[in-house]
Amino acid sequence: MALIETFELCKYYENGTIVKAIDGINLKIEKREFTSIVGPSGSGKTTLLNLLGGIDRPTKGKVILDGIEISSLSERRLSELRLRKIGFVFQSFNLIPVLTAFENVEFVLILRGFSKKERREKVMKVLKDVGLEKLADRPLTKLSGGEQQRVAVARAIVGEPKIVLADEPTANLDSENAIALVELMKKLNEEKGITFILSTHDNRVVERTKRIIKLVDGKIIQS
Amino acid sequence: MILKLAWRNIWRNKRRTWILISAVTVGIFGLFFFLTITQGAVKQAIQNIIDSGVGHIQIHKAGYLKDPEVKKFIKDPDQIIKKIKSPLMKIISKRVNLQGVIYSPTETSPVQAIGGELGKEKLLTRLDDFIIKGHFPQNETEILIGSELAETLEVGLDDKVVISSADITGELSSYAFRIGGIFKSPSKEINKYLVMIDINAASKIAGYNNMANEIIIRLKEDKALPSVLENIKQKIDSNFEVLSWGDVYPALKYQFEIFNEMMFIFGFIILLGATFGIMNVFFMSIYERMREFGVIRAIGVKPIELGKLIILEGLLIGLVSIFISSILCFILYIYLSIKGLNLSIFSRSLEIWGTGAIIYPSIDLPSIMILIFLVLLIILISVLIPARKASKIVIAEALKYV
Ligand SMILES: Nc1ncnc2c1ncn2[C@@H]1O[C@H](COP(=O)(O)OP(=O)(O)O)[C@@H](O)[C@H]1O
Ligand SMILES: [Mg+2]
Repeated sequence: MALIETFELCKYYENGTIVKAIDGINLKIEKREFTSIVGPSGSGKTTLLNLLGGIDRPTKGKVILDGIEISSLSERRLSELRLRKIGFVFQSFNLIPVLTAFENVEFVLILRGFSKKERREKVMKVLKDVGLEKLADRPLTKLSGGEQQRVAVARAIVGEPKIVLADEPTANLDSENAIALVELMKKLNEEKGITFILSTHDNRVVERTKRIIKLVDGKIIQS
Repeated sequence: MILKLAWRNIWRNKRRTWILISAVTVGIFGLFFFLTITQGAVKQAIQNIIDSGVGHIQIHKAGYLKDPEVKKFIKDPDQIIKKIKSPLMKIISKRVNLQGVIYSPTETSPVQAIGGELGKEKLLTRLDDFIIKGHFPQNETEILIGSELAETLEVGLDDKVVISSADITGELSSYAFRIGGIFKSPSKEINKYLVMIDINAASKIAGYNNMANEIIIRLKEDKALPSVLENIKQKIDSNFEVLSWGDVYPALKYQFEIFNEMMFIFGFIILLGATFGIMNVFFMSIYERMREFGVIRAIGVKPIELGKLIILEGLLIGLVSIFISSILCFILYIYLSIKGLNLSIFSRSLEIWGTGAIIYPSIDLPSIMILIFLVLLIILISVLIPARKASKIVIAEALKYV
């Protein structure tokens, strides 16, 4: 069974005219995939990732995640599902600014109800995985953009989700940091088997992924 | 964690939080000041009424209060006193009150005379404290009159005056006194019509023989009034009326009650105004954090949990304000307790109430509790709508804010 499967997935916006942000997408993502979604600005990358992650609800069609049809879930159940099964990385301002790197990562585990000891172990382990164990207790303002994105990756993977969805995670980074971040994700994918879908329009990011989905006007033109 | 997050969140915009805390603190402080002074004034006014000779409790023959005639008397007052005496009472004493006319060689004036057991009366009323000339009556021949009355009668110490009043048979009866003392109380009314004489002198005018028309009780504590009142009513029959000071002056008692209620309504209106201010500030802080809320919700925080966070932030601000204002209010209270608040500018209106010009604060625990409760309630109401708004955000939209 595929990890994610969509059937005729559509998201329309209506304000005077109808904008078909996502227009009839059928897609299968398997476990351990490392996929990029590419396409020009406005092609529907963000909308698609939001639909896959249960952040947004489709106008038509379905998303099956880990065997569950998510579009019919209540807001509460969806929150629970996102917490347990999905990790998110966004373009920027991913983190809670009043918390330290450690606390940001820990936040997810608190919501999950882990004990203090378990939290400490898990958080330190993922911070080590993303190479930030030394910066754990720094306030966020003392971290660079690249470091902050790595904290976001750490937060996304700390709860051992089924999949990590990253919407243009490198867009605000310089190319050196951008490549480092993708390499980090690639390593996590290869060594720990974490499934990633990331959207980007940076070629050097795209070429490091294993599968490329091209979007134009809300439709897949190449997969 | 949510507490830690809320606490740090409120200090993100220090300036705004401090403005909010100051505003709430000033509000609490102002309300406290108002409440404690008005409660103090009311308490003083009541005390003054009690001190003026009304006491806490009065017992008469039934119907006396409505129409105080000499023929409505208590036959054996000493026996009743023995029956109802209780350790909660500071003083219990009998009186022969007279309504009549007082003459000086040149003038006359209506008068209300208390004929009391002088040793006890000295403690029952505060007239002794208000004496400006002479001394409290010591025997049947001496009389204590108020300063206004002395002016009206154009008399001074040692001058002779005569009191005329109806006796038990309906005949007019008179008795001559020497002015032993002149008092000046905060109440002009009292200074104008009240005089103090010995019970034996009064009995002679009234034609009483081991009788009285009033038994007066002063309690050790105001609080004991309802229970003592109830107790006495059970012990004596319905030929008598047992009255509290409030029954004697129902209008005043009612006025005080209305006044207290008005204070709370007034305070509530002030706080309601504050609600809109607080709500506004919270809306601002929420709009600034839209994107962050989007992220928090995306990673799995439930709508209700986000709402709780906002409410907690509001309550924390409320608690900090209450903490700071408690300290300020405590200092204020101590200061006013020592110095008092001089309201002599308003003393005209205060005189009507029988309060002195200097008000000392008074507040009770329930009032403080109500005040704290009201403040927290108002904050809760103020943040509820913003919190609801935050919990209802559409994540995909919120994430677009930067
Ligand atoms: N809330 C919205 N209302 C109207 N149109 C929207 C809304 N959100 C996105 N769109 C439109 O949907 C299309 C896809 O947007 P998006 O998914 O953000 O593209 P991308 O992430 O690839 O840049 C765009 O044409 C955009 O204008
Ligand atoms: Mg986008």
